[in-house]
Amino acid sequence: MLRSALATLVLLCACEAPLDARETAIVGAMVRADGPLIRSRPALMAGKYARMARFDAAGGEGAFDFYRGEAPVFRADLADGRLPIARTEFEAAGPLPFSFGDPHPENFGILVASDGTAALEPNDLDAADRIPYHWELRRLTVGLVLAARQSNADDAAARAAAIAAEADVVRACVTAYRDQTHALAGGAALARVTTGGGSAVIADLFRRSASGAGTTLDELTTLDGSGARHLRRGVLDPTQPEQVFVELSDAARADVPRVLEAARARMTSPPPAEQFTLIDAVRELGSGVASWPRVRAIVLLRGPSDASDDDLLLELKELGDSGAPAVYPPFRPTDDVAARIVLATQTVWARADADPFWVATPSWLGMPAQVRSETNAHPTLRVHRLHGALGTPAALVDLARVLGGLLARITARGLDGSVAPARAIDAAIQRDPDRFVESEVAVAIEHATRTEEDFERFRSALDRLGLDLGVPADAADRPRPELMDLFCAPPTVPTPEPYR
Amino acid sequence: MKRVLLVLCLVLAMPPGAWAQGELESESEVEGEGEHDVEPQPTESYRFAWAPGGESPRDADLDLPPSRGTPWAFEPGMHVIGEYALTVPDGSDWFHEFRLPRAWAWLGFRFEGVRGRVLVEGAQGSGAGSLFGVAGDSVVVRFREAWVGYRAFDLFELRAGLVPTLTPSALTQLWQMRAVSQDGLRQFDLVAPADLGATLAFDIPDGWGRIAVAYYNGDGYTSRELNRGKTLETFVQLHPLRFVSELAPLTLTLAYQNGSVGTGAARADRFIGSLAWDDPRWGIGAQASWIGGIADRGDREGLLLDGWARVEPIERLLIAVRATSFLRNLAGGQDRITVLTGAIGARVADPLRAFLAFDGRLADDVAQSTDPGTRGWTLRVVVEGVLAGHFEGVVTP
Repeated sequence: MLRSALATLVLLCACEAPLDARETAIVGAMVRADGPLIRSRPALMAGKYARMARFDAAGGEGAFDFYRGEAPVFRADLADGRLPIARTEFEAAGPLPFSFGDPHPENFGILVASDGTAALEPNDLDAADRIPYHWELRRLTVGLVLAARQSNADDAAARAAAIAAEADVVRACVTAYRDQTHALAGGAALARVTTGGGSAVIADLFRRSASGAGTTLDELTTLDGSGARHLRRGVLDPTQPEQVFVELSDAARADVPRVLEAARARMTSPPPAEQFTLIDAVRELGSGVASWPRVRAIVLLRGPSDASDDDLLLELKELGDSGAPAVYPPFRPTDDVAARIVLATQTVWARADADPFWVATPSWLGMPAQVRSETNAHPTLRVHRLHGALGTPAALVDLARVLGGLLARITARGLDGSVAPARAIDAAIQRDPDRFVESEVAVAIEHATRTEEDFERFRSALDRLGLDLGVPADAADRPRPELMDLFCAPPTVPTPEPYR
Repeated sequence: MKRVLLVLCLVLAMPPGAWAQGELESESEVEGEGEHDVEPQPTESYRFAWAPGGESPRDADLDLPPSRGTPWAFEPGMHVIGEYALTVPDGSDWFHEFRLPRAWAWLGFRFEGVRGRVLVEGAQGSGAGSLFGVAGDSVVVRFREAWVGYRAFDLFELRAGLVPTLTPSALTQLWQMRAVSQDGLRQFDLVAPADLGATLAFDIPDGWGRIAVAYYNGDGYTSRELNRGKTLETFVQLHPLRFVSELAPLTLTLAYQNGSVGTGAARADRFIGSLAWDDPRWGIGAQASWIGGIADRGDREGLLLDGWARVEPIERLLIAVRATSFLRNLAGGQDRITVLTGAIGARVADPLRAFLAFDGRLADDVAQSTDPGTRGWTLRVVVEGVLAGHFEGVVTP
């Protein structure tokens, strides 16, 4: 007993063993951002971290999935003046652009507006906020380098060629950003991207959008003997076993009609109320990376008629804070999350009805929530599709050029809708336009390499601390029973391989 | 049946000079009363004032005259700082707003040597970590202090619970102008002003100073503890020339904090040295702090330099200046933020002060890259009120 007491005393007095400083920084940033969710919904957070740490030996998305989830680390790096990613000689004075906060390549996709026209737009506004332009540009360029390095999973030679061209990829993106910003500052119109613009990858997205419009109901729903449509349950795609539809809790389902009515009232052109008659709803688990632990539901609505072939599918998703650091006063653009998302639809997109059903509502069981279309007509750019003709150096360069130009349009506007940010950014870049491009190329490649190393460190941290990143469990953090029912435990967590 | 004598002291936030005079009067009277066989002497000469400022309410060092009874007291108080601020960042639009930098209410208790205090503060927030949902970004109430302790022999004091940390309180009380500016360590959020843990202080007799040690969670009072490592703080504050009464205000403060934050136990060590002249009517001070570990990055080291001066040249007129410079990367690079503050103010009434303050913020190129909104200036109109009471009595057999 004495020995035990002494051992305990020694433990109490001792500090933790020194750890790798970078690993500690990664864990610190993630826990600071995710701490409340780790405590209140640990199973869902375990799913997120496992997804971030998943490494596919066949050449899967590895570090890119990590990159999608490590935005808190990226933001912390932007505040660490020792790192190249944090420094710029081209800081723009003037009002900050209102951008979407996390412009990695997989946050772009096709959206079909109320008039049926399709355009390439950001399709994740969760982190939208007022953000310095070079942070947004670097989030994109680092993502493009990682995408090039993860491309062509089944073709080593093609991947090597893509990696060899990564500087050209970034250069194309930054040059397009620079030139488009210059044009916008000079009065050019804020145009939608409605064609591939010479990019095979973007053209492929438009093709998938056009062909996918009618397929969503078949994929996600079934018809019963009476001809009535219901959402499927269980695993939808055997290759993605963690992505499942399960029953939505009674409390959440009971609140859905009210939330949908509130959302409908906020739409630019609200459809008739009867179109939003609820037929079925399921809880969706295992979708996304950064938003893996957020509550998502898919709802099936009546649509324009009682016929089952025009039923409407929407996604209902819990929202959180943007996570953007407060830079200039007023330090927050809006007082609540829903208002921030509404502002984003009006500012980030070229037209506010880029997705006519996309709107935020203040409360779904007390959580801010977002409604958007759930349709195959809105395909997302995916890194795993960058292979073959879509993974050549030329295809990647063209993709980077289109995305760089689009980001320039997004960061051109401020809260008031004017292009004052574009003029300020342009003035900064024009001090030395060529050096701007080359410095951004160097920063992106350096930080992409750091991110790949961070991916291994993160796996090491999970191995050592567990899928809760070491946050002590406390029964007092368990949410109320109705919230527990809503959160659910995912049936399958994509278990990462142990790091050794 | 016990007889209770009450001494009711309505406390006004008297000027620091008056506070000191009141204390000296008390001491002289106590000395003149003889030893322990006198009857309790309720007297208004024991009025006590809470000097404004500090990261914790100033502790009232008074005792009732020696008596056969058991002294008790309770001390309610409030401290509010409100301000109007016009901010003009370099290169961005100006902005103006009303703010509430401080809203405190507290209640302290004493019974013989046992003492305790609960202090709540208003805090802006309804973020993801909020314990309960609040519409919008409301001002909510949270605990800043909740501790109980024991003072023995009028020398040692042990506190446990949610306690004020040692160094921020001491340094800000020297400055006395919290309404004008925070101490540099607090401006850059390098130390927590309160934490869960315990402090043990030893007051060196005859006013030579204080030696204290503390053991905290380390993640501060706004966070839950995330690792097994605890933070150890050692603190010494001395008046090294106390033997010459005219030089007694010279105050040397040295503190060392060895700690860690986060589940990864990132280093959070600080070494702080300060030399100040702490006269009630004027003061001047300089401090330097080595910072080991910044913002969850244990390998990041910085240096914080702080200088300040305050003076009350004529009755009720207050002037204060402060310069704080934070070099955020000792390994090199232009990563420094400097904040210059000047203020002129008046003690409108004893518990009420008002200031016109100007803050200028400078940033090196790297600092401006990482914190784009840093450069610029702010003009503030500040109002500060401190209202505190001391109700005491003696329980006699």
